[in-house]
Amino acid sequence: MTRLNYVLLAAWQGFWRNPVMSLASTFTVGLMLLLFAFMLATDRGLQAAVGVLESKVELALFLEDDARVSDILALKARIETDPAVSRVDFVTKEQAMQRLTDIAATRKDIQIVDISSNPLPASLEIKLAHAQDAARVSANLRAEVGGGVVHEVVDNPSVVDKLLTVTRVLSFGGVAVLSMMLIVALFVIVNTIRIAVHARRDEIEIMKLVGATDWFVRWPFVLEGMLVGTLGAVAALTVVVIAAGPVTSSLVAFLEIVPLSLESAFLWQLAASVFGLALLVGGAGAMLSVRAHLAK
Amino acid sequence: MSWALPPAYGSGEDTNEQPAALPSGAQGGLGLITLDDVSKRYPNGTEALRDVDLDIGDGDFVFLVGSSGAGKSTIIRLLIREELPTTGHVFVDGQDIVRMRRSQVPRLRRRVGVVFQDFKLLPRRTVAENVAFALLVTGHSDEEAREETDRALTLVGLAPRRDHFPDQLSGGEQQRTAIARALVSRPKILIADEPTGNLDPVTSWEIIKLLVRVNELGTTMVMATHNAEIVNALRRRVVHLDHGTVVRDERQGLYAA
Repeated sequence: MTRLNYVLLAAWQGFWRNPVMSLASTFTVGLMLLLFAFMLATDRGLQAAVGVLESKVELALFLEDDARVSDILALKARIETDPAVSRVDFVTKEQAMQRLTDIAATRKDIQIVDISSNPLPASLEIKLAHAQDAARVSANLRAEVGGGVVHEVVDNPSVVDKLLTVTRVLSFGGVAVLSMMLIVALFVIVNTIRIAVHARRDEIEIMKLVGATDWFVRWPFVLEGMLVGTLGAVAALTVVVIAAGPVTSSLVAFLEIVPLSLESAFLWQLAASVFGLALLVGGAGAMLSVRAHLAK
Repeated sequence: MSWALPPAYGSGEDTNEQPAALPSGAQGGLGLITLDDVSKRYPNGTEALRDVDLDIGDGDFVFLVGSSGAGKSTIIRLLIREELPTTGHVFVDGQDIVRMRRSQVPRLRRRVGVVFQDFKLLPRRTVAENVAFALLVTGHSDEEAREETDRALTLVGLAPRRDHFPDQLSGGEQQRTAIARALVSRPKILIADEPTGNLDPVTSWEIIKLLVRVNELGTTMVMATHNAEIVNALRRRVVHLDHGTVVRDERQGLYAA
């Protein structure tokens, strides 16, 4: 108990002995953590977006007008056995026309002038479980073209491809920027603790002289580093909580379909990650700083 | 008292103040402190000690004398393992402290108290806090620290000044505080590096009388000093160092041969 008191008090005093430096490093760490939280949330949102778009990915098989229904149903059953396919819908010529009519009813720029004949083909609409299988599945289906049932294979997974690319670029760039921020934060903490060690060098000298263990000497500084990290985490999470509502709604408005949800389970996860990183950076920075001093 | 240190003072149990086995080179770790063929060369090339053999028995009072740079401080630094010898062995209380693991060094230092010329007190702590500090940072409880601090302050005669800060004390009182801090963990050995170097003659005598009393209570004393008057008056064992070697070792010596 005494030990703990001593260590905690020393850490607290150390933090306030040089408030400008401590608050500056708290601010830097907070900024780094805010970026980290933003990255986690963005990553989460993009993954949700990819998920949503993936579920919308379709391949369409336009069918020959003279294909027999039994052949079409047999093909449908065959496609359904592919594990990459989640669902196959048969759309008749009439249903296709009905859809077009429905769309035309809501849009002034589309006018159907002649409804005497139906130029639209019947089709099989295929939903995929995962976007990355689109190429393989469509290649398989292309082999059916000319067999009397399938007239044409239409696929357009490029939206998902683009989104996946964006996600990759964003996470790569994010990790790069975050790494730099991490190094800056570490550097600032190392320096803050170095100053704290310097301010208490007489005390450290006496501690070593009377036989305090290295850990006893280190702990106050490690805790001071963690205190800097924790305060930075609190600051970053305060900003996150305040900003979460407006940012979410504007993103939802911007991306329309993306259900970018910052629900409480995710926020807790985010808070835990931010605190974890904060303690790690604070503690590790302090350790680096004190170890250099104690090695002498 | 829950920690396993033998009562080194105040108990009256330690009556075996055997006279030191006189200088005869290494005695194979018979004494409380043994330097066996120790040489020390600092990285800058200075040869601080050369083939030093020294044996100090339990309860001894030993003066280290010699001009500045003769090797007195190096011996002190070796004894608290602030430095390692280049060659040779150093035994303290039966333990080879050269081979000792780094993690064991704190335990050694709790058994060897040190007092310096410049006192090394913490200015923002009171006398009692400075003394208790030595126990609190080595994991003792508040209660133990309070008990032992009272005892050490009484021994050095500073109990009435316990709540003063160092800058409110005279030099002699500051040195007494440092001695109390060195003794509070009941070390077997008290090392003093020029303890009277900053003090006037009258105060120096008071400090020396205190250290003699501490020695009489059973603590082994090793004192590096330039104070000829004190060495000559006490007629204790004198180890004279010159250019890193022991040139004289007398049981009841004088400052100069």
